[in-house]
Amino acid sequence: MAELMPGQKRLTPGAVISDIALVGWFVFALFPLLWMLLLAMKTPAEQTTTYFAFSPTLENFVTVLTQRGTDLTSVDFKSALLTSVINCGGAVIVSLLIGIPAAYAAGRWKFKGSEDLMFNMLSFRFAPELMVIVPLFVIYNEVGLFDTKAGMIWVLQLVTMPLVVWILRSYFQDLPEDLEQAALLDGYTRRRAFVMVALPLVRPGIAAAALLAFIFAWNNYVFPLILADTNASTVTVAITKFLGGGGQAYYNLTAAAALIGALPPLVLALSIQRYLVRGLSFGAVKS
Amino acid sequence: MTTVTKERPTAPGPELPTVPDSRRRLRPYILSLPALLVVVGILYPFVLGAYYSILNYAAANPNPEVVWFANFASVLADSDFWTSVRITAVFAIAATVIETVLGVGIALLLNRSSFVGKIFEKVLILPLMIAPVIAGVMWKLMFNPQFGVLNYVLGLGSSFDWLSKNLALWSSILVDVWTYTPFVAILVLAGIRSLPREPFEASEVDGASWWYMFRRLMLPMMWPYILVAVIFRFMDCLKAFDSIFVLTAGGPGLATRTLQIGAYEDSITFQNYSRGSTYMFLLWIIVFITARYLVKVLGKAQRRAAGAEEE
Amino acid sequence: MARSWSRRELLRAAGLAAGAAITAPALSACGVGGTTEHPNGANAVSGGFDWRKASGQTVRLLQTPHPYQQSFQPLLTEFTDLTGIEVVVDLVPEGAYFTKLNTELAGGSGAHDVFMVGAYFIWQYGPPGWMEDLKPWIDNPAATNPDYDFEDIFEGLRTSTAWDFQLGSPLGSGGQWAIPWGFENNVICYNKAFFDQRGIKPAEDWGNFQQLAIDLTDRAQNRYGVTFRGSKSWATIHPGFMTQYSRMGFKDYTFANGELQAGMNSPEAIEFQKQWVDLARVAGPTSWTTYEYPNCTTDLGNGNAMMCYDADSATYPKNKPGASAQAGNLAWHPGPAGPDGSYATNLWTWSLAMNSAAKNKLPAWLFIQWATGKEAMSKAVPAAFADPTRQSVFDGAFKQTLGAFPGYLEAFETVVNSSKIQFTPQTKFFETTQGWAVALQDIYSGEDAAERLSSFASTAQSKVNV
Repeated sequence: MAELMPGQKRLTPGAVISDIALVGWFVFALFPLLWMLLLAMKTPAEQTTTYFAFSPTLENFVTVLTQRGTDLTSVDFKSALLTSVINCGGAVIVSLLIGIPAAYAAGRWKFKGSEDLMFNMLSFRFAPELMVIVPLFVIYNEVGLFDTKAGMIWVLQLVTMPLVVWILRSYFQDLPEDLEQAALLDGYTRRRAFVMVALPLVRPGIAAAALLAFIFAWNNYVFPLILADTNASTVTVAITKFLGGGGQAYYNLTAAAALIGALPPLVLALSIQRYLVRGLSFGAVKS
Repeated sequence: MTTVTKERPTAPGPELPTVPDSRRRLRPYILSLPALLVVVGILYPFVLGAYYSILNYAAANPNPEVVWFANFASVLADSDFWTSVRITAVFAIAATVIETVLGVGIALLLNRSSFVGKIFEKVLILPLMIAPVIAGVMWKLMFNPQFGVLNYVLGLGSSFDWLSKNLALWSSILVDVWTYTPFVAILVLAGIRSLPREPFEASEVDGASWWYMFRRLMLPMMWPYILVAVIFRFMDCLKAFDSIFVLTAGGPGLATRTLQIGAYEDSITFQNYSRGSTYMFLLWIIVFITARYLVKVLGKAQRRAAGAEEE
Repeated sequence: MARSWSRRELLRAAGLAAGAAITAPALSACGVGGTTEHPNGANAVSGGFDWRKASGQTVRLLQTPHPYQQSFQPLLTEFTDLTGIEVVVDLVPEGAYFTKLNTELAGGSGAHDVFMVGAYFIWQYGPPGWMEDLKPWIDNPAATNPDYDFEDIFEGLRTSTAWDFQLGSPLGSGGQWAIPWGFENNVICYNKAFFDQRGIKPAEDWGNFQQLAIDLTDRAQNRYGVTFRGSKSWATIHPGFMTQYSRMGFKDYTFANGELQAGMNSPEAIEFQKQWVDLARVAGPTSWTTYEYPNCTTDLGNGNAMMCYDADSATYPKNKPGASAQAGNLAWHPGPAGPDGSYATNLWTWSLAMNSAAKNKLPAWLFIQWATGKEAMSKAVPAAFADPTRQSVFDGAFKQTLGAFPGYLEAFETVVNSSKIQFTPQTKFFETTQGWAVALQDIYSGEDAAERLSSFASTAQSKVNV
């Protein structure tokens, strides 16, 4: 017999109402996405003149991916997709590499300045992007990081690092020491104890932090717009290029591009879903 | 896993006679060093940006001089600035409260693991996959009174303006709620799922009602998770820009002119960088103070939750 | 807690102080602030003219998606064949174009050599020295091909992109900061099929125009009389509004006693603006305060709007077969004349300009003269390039395409001689003009027109005279 938490009940009037409420939310949440899908299948003539009755076409998806057949100048969507994956994946990896040790240190030992460091990391995420954009533009041009993937990975740390560090610190705080102690007593060095014992235990946290950081980096608009031209420009910017100009707006292409552009983070989310379920405990309490 | 009563470690890790004392003490600093370097690296452009606010740097004035606090005086005396503060506050508070209530509700409902819930859980994250700037474009199309699908489906006719002066802010909040409620729901749901079973089983055996269990046990233990979501959402809403700008450009009039939109107007549209920087520095101060307060509250809630578990 | 506060505060204060100490020289080293010292490149070019003078080099363009840009895309290979110069194009979405351009110019990076620009932007980018004066280039026979014929470009366009940045100086003085590439007159595009059905003709004066628009409005049928921009942007003021405003005889500012004096708060001007906003409310789009020109042309093309008061080249593509639901039903008209028969029209021109910090100035100039030259422009015309800035191209290739666009040519010829930038040039254009749009939005929401416009006028006047 399944254990129940408060709220978990068998089929009762309360259960039915709860299900209806859930359906209500998901209608609201999914309707725009469905509408986008319909829009992505409309021809330019039909994009603002029809609602649900139209002649669907997959042409737009093909156009977005192959830059073929429109009077709109080529937007290299495929390479933008690849660049986004590199930029955001790279940013998350860098954040993990740098953030895990720092989160471990701050979670394990409350050393002098750890609270300050943690709060500083948080506060930089909340700095308005526009505040740093002009200085960054100038600095990047001076040091040659402008329009480079390395430059984008660096600036995306503003977005990814605080998330990673904050989520992981709580995990490390909750990690019971006795397991590591056991490993140490067995003769392992601290580093091996960490890698073999601590790290696997926080895998759910790493998965959750990586996913959320990836999504926020993927959706970032301002940084790739200003700090990149063609080499390091991301999908989110590429999607807006389909909006057209001079009075001819291609909402259908934009919708198609947006749906395609949402696939990589979605794939990532689905593939680490099993970690997420146990995942995002911020570790205030542990079972 | 054994249930351990957690006490925050206040001393460096377990003693091992083979490791020299000094190195052990340095270890946390060495581990944190790369992160510290990143912080410093990010600090530099930030300080530069802040530096603009004490200059009079603008396109019309490309040889800037230091004017100390003249910009701050000018901005703080500008009624438009205070209107933007009010609008940003309304937006952030309303959006965060709505997203939190809805998110917690959805998490509780999904926690029941009903058949319907299991299906929907898989698609919960979808709205987050659409970047806010794109969501703004799509919602603006849906809001259009002439050909938009919302007025059609809801039977509102072609004279109903979602983005009129009275409704624009609330429509912007609607778009934010649509995008980010899943974020709250996911965080809270995972939190609920990680709560220990024993206290609840014990209470059920004692014959406690659902409401009692929720109020006395579940809510206090969930509170830290809820608070983290609140912190992240509230901070992000204070900086709201992307989707609102696409929807209304901060209009009509000043109706949706959040602080970052006001800063954008000054910095980018009018190329008065110093004034824009001043706006953003003030915004950053507001966010900083609020974040410090919320983090303190989070700390208290964490301690209380640890206490509740021991019940 | 108190201890950690002070520690953090000290750290922060120290950091900021150190930052300030370092940044002052670093800033100027980074090129932030300070007029850019980039000498004009024209004098460096000597010898005879040759298209292949810069062969092997590269030119970098910054553009935004637009029919002008699209119609030239296939021609770029011809340019490379002609000159041996490689062309690299960076496209930026329209809504973000000036954000990116502003930042790049302010940062002084010179990342792009040539960029698309509108006339008003010259008033902002010119004074800090971010743009290259093209006059020396045009006048240098070693740099410009003998067939260029700069005077072939319409005079109103040539003057609209020249200014000396002195308060009170009219346009046409000073340096030539950009070469007009394509331009637009703001006129009426209307649904001729609908008009013919009812036996209506477009209105010839402002009073009849308002009445016509009101009569055409039937909200139950999701139809309204006239669409024009209303979003919170300077772009709301410059097309239809400024055109009709000028035709009614009003000015934005007048230069007297060494300063600019605001003109939008005269009682007659206030009355006109009130009528304009009332028209939007009664006979305009429902969500007028969010309407940008794609929204306007979409409503026209869908048959929701019966008239559109905006750029002729924006409505032009809607009449091509298959381009919109109302394709084939549209026609053009100069719009209502002023009380004294004035057809003063405000124009917009997308022009090509050179970055003063450009690294490839000669290739840049070769590109600009090629793109604005007779041959390339004529080739671009069939691909919906409207309106070409050269008299010869207009008379030649363009006129022939106008058969399927009734009234377009007549409207153009009616207004072209009184079509220019009607605004008074000033360096605070975007701030004051956006403020003007905000004032109109506030009147739309119910504020008193006289009060609102008077307060706007005094604010604007204090800003432009700094």
